[in-house]
Amino acid sequence: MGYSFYEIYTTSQRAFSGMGFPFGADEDAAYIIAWLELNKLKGVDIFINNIKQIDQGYDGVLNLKENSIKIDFKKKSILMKGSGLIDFLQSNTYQDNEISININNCSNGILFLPLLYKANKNIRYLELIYRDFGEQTNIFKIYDNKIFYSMEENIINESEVKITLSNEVISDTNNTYKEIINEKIIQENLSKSLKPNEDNWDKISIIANRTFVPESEESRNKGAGGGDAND
Amino acid sequence: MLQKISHNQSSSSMTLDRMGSRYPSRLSFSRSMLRTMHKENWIITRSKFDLDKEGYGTAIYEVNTAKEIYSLVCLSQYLADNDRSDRVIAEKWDTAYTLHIGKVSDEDLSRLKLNIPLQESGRNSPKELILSRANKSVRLFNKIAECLSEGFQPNIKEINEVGYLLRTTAVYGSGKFGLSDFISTKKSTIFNQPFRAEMLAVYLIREFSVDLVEHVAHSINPNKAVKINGNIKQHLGIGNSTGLGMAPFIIKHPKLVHQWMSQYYLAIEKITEEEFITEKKLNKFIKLLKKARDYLDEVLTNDQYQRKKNKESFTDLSKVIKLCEDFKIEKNNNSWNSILSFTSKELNFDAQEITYVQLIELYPSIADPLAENMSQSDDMDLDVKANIISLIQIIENNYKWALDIDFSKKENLHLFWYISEEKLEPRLGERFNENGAELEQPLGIGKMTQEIYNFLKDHKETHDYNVGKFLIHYPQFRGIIRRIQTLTNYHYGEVNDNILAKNIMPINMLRFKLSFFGASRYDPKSDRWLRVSFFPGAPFYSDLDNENVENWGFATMNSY
Repeated sequence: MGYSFYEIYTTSQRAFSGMGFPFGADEDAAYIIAWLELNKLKGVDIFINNIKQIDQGYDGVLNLKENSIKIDFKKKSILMKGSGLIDFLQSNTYQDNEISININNCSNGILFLPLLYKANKNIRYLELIYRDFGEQTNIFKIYDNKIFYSMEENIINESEVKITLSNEVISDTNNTYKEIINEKIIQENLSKSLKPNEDNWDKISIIANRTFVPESEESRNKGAGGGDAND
Repeated sequence: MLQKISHNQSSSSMTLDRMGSRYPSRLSFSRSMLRTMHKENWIITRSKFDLDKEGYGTAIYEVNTAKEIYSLVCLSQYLADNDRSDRVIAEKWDTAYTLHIGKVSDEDLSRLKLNIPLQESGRNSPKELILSRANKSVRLFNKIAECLSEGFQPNIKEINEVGYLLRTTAVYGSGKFGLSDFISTKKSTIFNQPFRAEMLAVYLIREFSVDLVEHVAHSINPNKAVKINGNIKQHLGIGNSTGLGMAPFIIKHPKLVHQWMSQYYLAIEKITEEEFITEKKLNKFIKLLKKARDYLDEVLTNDQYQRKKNKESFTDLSKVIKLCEDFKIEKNNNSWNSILSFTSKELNFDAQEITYVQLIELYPSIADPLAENMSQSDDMDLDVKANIISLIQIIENNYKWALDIDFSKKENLHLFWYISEEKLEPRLGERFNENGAELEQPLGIGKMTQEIYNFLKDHKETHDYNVGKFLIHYPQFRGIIRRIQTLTNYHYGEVNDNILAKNIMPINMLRFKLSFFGASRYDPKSDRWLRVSFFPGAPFYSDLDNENVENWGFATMNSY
């Protein structure tokens, strides 16, 4: 079945809220999931894989100092801590020309990609390197509202993520990166229905239901059509 | 608020009382849609009209624009009287609609016939822009069909009592139920302004409503049946029942609301700064005010509060009409401010708003371009480098209304907004009498703002943090800080009232939004829902011309 971007975002946001994410954090996490799903990067499936880590266990606090170059996520989900980290790095990039950070014990590094794409409004160049499992390291370069991708082997450790923000573009001299996302591609994707895995989508919808309240009799009587329904 | 708009003035425009006193203007979406239709010479044809004798079946209206064709698919079915309900939880309707991009193929039509009558339970594709449904007016539809079938015209007074043949109970767009997302619609179709596609759909439903009643009349008595006369027909609008679903929209789209309001006040500001009162303009203004006064005298509602407001507005409009009639014009020396300063002192809010919208009516060259710039991104962004002291200052400057609320009093926390389990629609609950407050939607901006403000005041150690640093320690405030920072320069973005308070009138938020849609004939049914009409008095497509495309505001029975 096909869904709109709006539906993926709204239902995800409700699900995050239902799992205990506070106002604002639920929106950020929903944006990550909907953006990935829109760009065929399996946002809904990753959401499902993260549920055990995040359900009723929201922890968005980061113990980080201004000049930190390393942080341990202690296997806590990027859906909880990612937005705060990127904001914090951005707030420091205004002072420094380039800033990099290594994140240990951090899986599903792709969850950073929507946040970095959005941050490209303010930061000229962003880079995401992660290795979830196996030997494959994924590398994304983001500039000019475009995302370029390449992969290499064993650049960083498993469950490690490296993020770089810079006010200068670090160009791809070897031309090994492929442009995978830009505004045109996003518009093309928006013009088609999104088709998440149905079973996973159903699970998210069920979690979203936690945020709903049975309508009271009072509400029903005062709501549209209550009382004099026809004329 | 009428000259240079200061912050304090703009905030006074966004109280619920003021918002609940608004009227449609040239900038309203129904007006700008019809203007665009005429200007761009959209051609509407009825490409299918396959209804049985009782009016059940399928009709398609094609709108041929320079860029592409759009098709309104109308599906009409039998509905037992006891199934007819305006409640959002209804599952059957007399008629159902979709606005589809392009001509409708056989394959698409089969798909739409299966899904559109189901409304929320069906599935749409990105090729569909709008999903809607409408019920017949029990009082009026059959009466007019019978009347026409006998060769007689209905009495316009009877039409005025109801105002419409069909009444929509929802008009969905913007990605709901699989429909095209607005971020895509805006870029890939001609509907680059908010709710323009919705307004086109509603206008076409109005065309269908008349075609339907005339078809039924003809089926009853093919030899005697007549079509409805133009003047009587023109008085018909499309009804709409609207409930709380609209209210959170105002809170959730503050930048968009700001854009609408700032364009509206920019029109007035330009008029008062750039234009002088001339005899011709003054005479036209008086005529428009009298038309609005006639409308107030004629419009019907059983709601005592609205009746009182209409009556007061009628009286107040007489005051400004008298002022204008006695006005001595000095050449190139009379700003409209001389009249508007009187209205803001002497008239109630409704009459003030009527004065403004009728003034805007005089200057299409100022207003109409502004009506084509009503869209605004909903994106909200943190300013992560800003320091906490500056955040405190923004709150103190922009949210005084919120800081002044005493939330220790139960009456200021009486209500909570939630999403109903039944149809996923926004609803209001009573915090101390009903269950579910723990699932409250984050719409109480005043309360949340006061909470972050008090927290910051109590945590002086954070005052030299920037927002990025603050939020890694206190991520629970991400939403409200993002909102406050985003809206720093969007002074019309916030409702400057506590929408959790016991004494609020939620219906005021509905009216605010409906005024920008261009709805009129406000008929409150409770403090939480109302009926309105769209396009009453507007020319039908076949009659559309340069003159009537713009002169249908505040239409009365004598307007035609």
